[in-house]
Amino acid sequence: MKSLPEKMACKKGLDFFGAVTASLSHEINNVLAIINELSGLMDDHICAAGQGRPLDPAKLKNTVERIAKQVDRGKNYVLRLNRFAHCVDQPTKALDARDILEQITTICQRFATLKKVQLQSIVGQQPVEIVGSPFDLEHVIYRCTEIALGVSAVDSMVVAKLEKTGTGARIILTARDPGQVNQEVSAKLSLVSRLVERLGGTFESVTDPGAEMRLVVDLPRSMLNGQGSESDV
Amino acid sequence: MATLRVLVVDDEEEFVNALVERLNIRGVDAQGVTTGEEALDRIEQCSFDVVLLDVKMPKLGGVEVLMQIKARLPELPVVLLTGHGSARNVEMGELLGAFDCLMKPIDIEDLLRVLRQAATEN
Repeated sequence: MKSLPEKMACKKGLDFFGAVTASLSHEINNVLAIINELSGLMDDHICAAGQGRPLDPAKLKNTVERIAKQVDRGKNYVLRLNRFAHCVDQPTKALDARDILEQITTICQRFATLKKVQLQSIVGQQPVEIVGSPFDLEHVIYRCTEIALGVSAVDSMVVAKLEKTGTGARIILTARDPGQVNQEVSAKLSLVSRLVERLGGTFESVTDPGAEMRLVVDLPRSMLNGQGSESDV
Repeated sequence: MATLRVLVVDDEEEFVNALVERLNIRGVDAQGVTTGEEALDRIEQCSFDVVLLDVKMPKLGGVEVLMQIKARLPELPVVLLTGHGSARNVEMGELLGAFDCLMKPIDIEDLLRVLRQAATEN
């Protein structure tokens, strides 16, 4: 039988999975809505032509190009959703933490846009190899990003930076002009701390209200030596 | 019949542009804006028969905009637009006096019917 912390970790993992899939499917739906209007617009022009109004080839070409642009945008969302869905295929594998950080910061762009905050990731040229569960790493980065976006002032920026360390990897998220750390944020910080601990890492948060919040996650090269992975529970 | 005047509010600019053009083709006097703030400014500057308002928008979301519209112009009907999964916001919208809520993607004829109904009933 699962212990209470294991059940909690599992529930939080499901929440994370739900939030990401809901966000990406919402984006896909928006793309479909635009394609629906643009194809409808073409149909309107064709109907007008049937009633004797001359077709404007330049206008049709422009509409086709607009549709193609949305199809590319939709393909990109589907690709992200598919990659994300496959992150639970293998409980552990050799990862390049740069890919995971970029995947999550890309997925979180919508959350950042809704908060009117810019989200930027900084990774180096060299791979940052880690062995462990892609899902767990994505979850930790997502939760940190969620906190950083949540405390950020409108029109500010959150920077997620990945560094290779002697023992593994360090992820630093910086939010500018944060508000006070309230009870809700404290609970979220505790969750990240527990998640990171389970992976054998350490977590530290430093907040200077009105100036900066820094979230620092240190992960070992092998995340298999912690208390366990969420994908195991 | 008087020309229907509609304000379309959605943060997806391409969606707004295409929908406004399609409504104009159908004889509707439609204008579009891409933020809640712009919407509130526009309803102060121009007269509309109905506002078509997206629920999920950055900064000032659809529900907040609806509240502000109802505080300033309680008679102005608002039709909400949503993707799937915003059930809570839809319920909130209905409680706050939205005329109806439509799911994206929308059928243009259904939309026109709802917009005309909203304008007539108010």
